[in-house]
Amino acid sequence: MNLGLSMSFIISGVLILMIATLNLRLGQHSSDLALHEMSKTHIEAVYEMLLFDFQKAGYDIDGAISSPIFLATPDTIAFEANVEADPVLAGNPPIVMWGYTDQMVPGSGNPDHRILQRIVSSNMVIDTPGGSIVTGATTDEVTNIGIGVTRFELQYYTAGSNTPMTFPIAASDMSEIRRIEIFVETQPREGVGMPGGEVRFPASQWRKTIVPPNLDL
Amino acid sequence: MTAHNGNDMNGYAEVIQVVGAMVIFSIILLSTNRYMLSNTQQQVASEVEMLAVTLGQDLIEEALLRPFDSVTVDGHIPIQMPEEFAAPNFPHTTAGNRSDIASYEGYHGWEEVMDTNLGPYEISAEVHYVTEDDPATPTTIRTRHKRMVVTVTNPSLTNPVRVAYVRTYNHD
Repeated sequence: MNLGLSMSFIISGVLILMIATLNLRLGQHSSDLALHEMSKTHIEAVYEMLLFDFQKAGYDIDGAISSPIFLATPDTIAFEANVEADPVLAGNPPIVMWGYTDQMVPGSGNPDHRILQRIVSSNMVIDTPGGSIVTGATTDEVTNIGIGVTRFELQYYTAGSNTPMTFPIAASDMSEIRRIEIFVETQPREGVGMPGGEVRFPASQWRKTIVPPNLDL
Repeated sequence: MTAHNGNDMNGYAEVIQVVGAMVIFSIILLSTNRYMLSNTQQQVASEVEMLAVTLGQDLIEEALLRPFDSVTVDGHIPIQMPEEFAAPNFPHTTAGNRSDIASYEGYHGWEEVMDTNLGPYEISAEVHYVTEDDPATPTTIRTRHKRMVVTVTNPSLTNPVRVAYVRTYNHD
């Protein structure tokens, strides 16, 4: 075999390898884009729900509820709010609780997925400051959000400060909360395989500081 | 001898063809890489932009909870409107803390830097009187409408994000 032919074989081999690598990278890139879009869709669904509830903290039909927040930890909050503006519940608003649990999401390929829980119940009694539910809500009143939340963090601010309140927040200080900062991160259930066997989960994040009007009165 | 030289030439011709193919493929590879980089940049930019809009909205929502004007801070209802409202060309705020700002126009000149995991965001606000006929242009006369424009910048943003809101005093 002459030298020219041998060289062309080698170069062709390199070329084929490059084509294969490019093909693989394009596939990974497309997956990455699609999964990122999925994360964004998930985060939009979550923040719509969060905004709906948090904006109404302390709201009741007859007027603002005095000291409506009675549980405020880095990943759980409970407050009174007549979120559906239900006349039947006027004067006796339900408790709204949002918490990031330790429960894994069934069927998810992402090891960081946990259930974000929303409970709206008039029957619920919460042990403060521990945050455990003493008297449970019915199954209908619990919404388990398992669409890929990997981080859910809360911070609380008083009226005159840009520095978050330090945890644990004393029960007597709960009435001082005026602003709540929410940070949520979602990731898809399946990741993109990277060279070396690593799996990457394209994340989407959302951060918002909510000033519930009924806390600022 | 002549045939041997001819074979060599044929072999080199193939090498030249393969090198040519490699050059063409390299050009394709470069443009594909550019396309993927551009997509990734868009992906990051969308995240950065989403947070920028949220931060701008946060400031506006907070300002909406403040009284419309410094003369209405204690629930006072001005008899002469808009003559009693604060003079146009509001002074820049001197508040060191957002929570210390007492009225809507008090946010004029507010500037802060917020550090996030997507980099630092610079937030600034301007408040001006506007007229009903032209709510986008600041005016130097007192009216019942004030427009707040919040500008948010980030090193990853090509253009700053601007969020605007026109607030109207409705207490008749």
